[in-house]
Amino acid sequence: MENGQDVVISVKNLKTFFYSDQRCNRAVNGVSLDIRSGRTLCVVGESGCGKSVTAASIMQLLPRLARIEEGEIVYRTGDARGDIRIHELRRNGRTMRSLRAKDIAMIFQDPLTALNPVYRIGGQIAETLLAHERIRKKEARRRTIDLLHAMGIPQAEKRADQYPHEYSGGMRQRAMIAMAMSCAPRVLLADEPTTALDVTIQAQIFDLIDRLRRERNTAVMLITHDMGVVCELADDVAVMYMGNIIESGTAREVLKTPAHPYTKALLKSIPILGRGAGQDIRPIRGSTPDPYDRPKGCQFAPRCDYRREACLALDERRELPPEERIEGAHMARCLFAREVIRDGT
Amino acid sequence: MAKFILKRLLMFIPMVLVLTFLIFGALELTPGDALTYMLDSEALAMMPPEQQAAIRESLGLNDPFFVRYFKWLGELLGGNFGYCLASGRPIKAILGDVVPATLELSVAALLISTFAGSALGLVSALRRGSIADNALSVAGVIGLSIPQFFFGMLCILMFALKLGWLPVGGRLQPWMTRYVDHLRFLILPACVLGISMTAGVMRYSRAAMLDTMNKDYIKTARSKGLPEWRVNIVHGFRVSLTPIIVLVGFRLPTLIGGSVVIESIFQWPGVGMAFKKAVTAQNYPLVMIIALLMVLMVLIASLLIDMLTRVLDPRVKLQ
Amino acid sequence: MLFSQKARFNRKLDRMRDAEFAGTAKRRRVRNRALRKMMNNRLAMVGLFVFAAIVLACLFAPVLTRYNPETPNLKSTLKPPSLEHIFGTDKIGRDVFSRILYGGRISILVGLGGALGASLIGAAVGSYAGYRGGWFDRITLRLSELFMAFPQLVLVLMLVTIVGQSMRNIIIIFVVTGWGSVYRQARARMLSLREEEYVQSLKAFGLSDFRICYKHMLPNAISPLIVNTTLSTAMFILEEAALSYLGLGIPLNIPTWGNILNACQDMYTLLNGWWMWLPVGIVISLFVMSINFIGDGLRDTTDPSQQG
Repeated sequence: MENGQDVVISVKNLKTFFYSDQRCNRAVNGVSLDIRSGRTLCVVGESGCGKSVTAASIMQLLPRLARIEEGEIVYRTGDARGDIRIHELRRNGRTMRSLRAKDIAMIFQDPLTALNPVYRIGGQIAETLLAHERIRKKEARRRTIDLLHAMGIPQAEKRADQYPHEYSGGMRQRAMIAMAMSCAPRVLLADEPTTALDVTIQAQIFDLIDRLRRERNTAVMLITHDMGVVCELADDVAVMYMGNIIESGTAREVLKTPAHPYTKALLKSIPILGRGAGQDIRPIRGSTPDPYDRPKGCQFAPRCDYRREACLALDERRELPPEERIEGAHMARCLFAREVIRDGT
Repeated sequence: MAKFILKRLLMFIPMVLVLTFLIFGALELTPGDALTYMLDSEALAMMPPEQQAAIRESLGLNDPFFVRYFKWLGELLGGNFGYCLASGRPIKAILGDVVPATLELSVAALLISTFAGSALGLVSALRRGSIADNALSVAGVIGLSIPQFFFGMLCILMFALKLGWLPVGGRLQPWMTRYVDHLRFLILPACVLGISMTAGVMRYSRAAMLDTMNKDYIKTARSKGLPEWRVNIVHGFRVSLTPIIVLVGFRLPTLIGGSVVIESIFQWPGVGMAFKKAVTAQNYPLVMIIALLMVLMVLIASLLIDMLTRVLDPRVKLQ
Repeated sequence: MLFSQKARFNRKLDRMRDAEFAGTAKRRRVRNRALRKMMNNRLAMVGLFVFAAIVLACLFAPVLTRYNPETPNLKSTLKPPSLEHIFGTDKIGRDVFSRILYGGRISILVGLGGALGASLIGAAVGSYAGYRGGWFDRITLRLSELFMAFPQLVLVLMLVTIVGQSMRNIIIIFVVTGWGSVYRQARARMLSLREEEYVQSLKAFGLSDFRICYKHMLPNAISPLIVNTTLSTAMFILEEAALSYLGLGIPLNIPTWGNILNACQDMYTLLNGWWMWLPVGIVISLFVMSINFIGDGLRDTTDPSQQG
């Protein structure tokens, strides 16, 4: 393995549950993934499958009525601090706070609501710098303007003194990225950063994120529901469904030779921008189960074309299909993974 | 900002004109006129009717309504507010005495209630569901429900009579040399005047904070690794401040109106007490002028609050 | 302290989780969401209880006390509470308890009457203004702004000066000064309801504006108005008390809660005659508090933004 590919964050069997009104929702139900420096890991899945919760768990930004039940999240600092076990840290304690923005940074979906409306952009970026580095205000201001400029915001000097509502959508997201990257973090978690933006702006933002990754060897975890983006940007892919990763591996492995019926169906059901007309689109039959009323065994079984008796056995034992290792890093949670691969697209 | 102020002032003027018209109309509806104001009832009874009519004519009392209105308005703008029936002093002088007192009381009550109310609301919101939160909620309802004058009586009994910490009433005493000396007299009336405002601000501040803390930018602030206090106050409370200030603006009329009762209890020589005395004595011109004055005070205060809102929230567009 | 709070919180979550997986997680028992919320709101229930208790006590005054609230008895003045007189007697020998009960009738009547009247007028004018728009809306809006710029007490006192003090006058004055806020609310509701589809279809059917506005749209806007009326009652009771306390409200010969306090303004009574003013003040506070609790409960129930 090359140097640039070290595992920076290692998540093993993470379970995060949400509590409300006497009910318990297993939003993340046993997720394992690795985020490597210099590589983009795309986490794909439908709304509600648990992708954002996974990112929030890594940053310990869960709401009050949610907690990490089991599993580990280990951050390999690569310096004197050694390996930090994030899941054991106090949520807003000093260690966790020192990691946020400085080691692990996050950007969110809607930059308009994610930025504080009453403070200037420059001030909000400088706030991050001043919180983590021992510099003076003047220095922070200078670096803020440099950051804005580096992110492609024109007239950075003037723009730094403006408010979020005076920016356009794309510029706001660039400002958020500037804020996130200000302390040069080793990991960037991007939670659907372009869903709220126009398609043309989307491309620009992804270019920016990719450029930053290459320049600084940042580890990027990109959450998205857009397979087109995955095809373009991903180095590694993890496909999530109902709180589990049902398939993971390098982008080539997963996209070219999907090993899970869900991934296969997903690839078939979405038109990919740029592939032209005449694509054979088939929606996945059935609908996503109610999280409070889940299938007993394999979560995808009710909608699966490969469903067989062996799957019923899993239902009885109330177990998920085990992780089936195909070559290298390619994994799928399906009893018939190899058959799925053999059947092709 | 200057444009904003100018625009608002322009909107003021028609409203104030209509107000003066209403006030004058109200004055017309009260029994008596300038002649009865100048002479007492005995002298009036002794004066022959032709003489009364002649004097009325000469005073312009028989002119049509609008002529008299504009004359009156002209006098007002020229600074002549008429004379007090009882003492004969020019009303302007009386107002000059009492307005500063009420301003002092109102500003003090406003500051106390805004600060205390928002701070308590903040604490309530951050410790949501705790004993402190529930206790403050109940205290808030009590504060809204208790009649202000009753609360005043309780405070006088407790703090002035029983404990003797604070004086019972009045504002200025002959022995005072420095300004700070008389602050002791200000504490009790200001707190009592502000009690219902404090309760209202506290409830609203709690609701505004809870609403703000759910917003996305709070999550962003945490994700930047900021300490909790900074997230709560710099990001959370600061944004909630705008709706709180707007609420304070809405409750200003009640605050100024409350001064009528509170000043009477504490013998605070301000506009409110003058108003009450005027109403009791059926001193119609004074009643109407003071009413007009109080409305003006409310309007000016609202303008100031609007300006403050504009400063606090850059999203507010000038209308 | 923090440790144990956190530990308790975590244990509670553990219980919820285990119940969920054992399949024993609770399902909703009471179907009706509104009823459930109301029942959950214990404060509102307490408020209702206290409110009913006081109203009934005032209504059944002749049963509860044999004293006449207005006849003086100079032989037993300033007597502290005893078995004879539950709350003692006042400066001219009148039984305080009976004055509170009979006075309550007037105070509650004035408060409720004012609130209902103001709501009726405010709702009627506001709905039509919001629905129609045009010159009617503009004029009434300016008018309401004008009225609302006055501190209410000042406006009331101004009107009292002009028309004089009497119970009927006070209620009318309350209605005249209080219609503004209900007007605003009704108008705002109408403005948003106006765009709904059923309004368009009713118009297409040729129904007159009056019918559409009052028969079909207003019922949808009723809930916030009811909450507003409840809270207004509280406000008017406080206002009547303040007015009568100053001696400028209901004439002093008719007992009301505020009037009783009017005679207690001096230092001596404050210190030595606590039974003359403390019980009345507490009764007023409790009554208004109960109304506030009920109003809050109603607001929680009818607010569509709250989730069950």
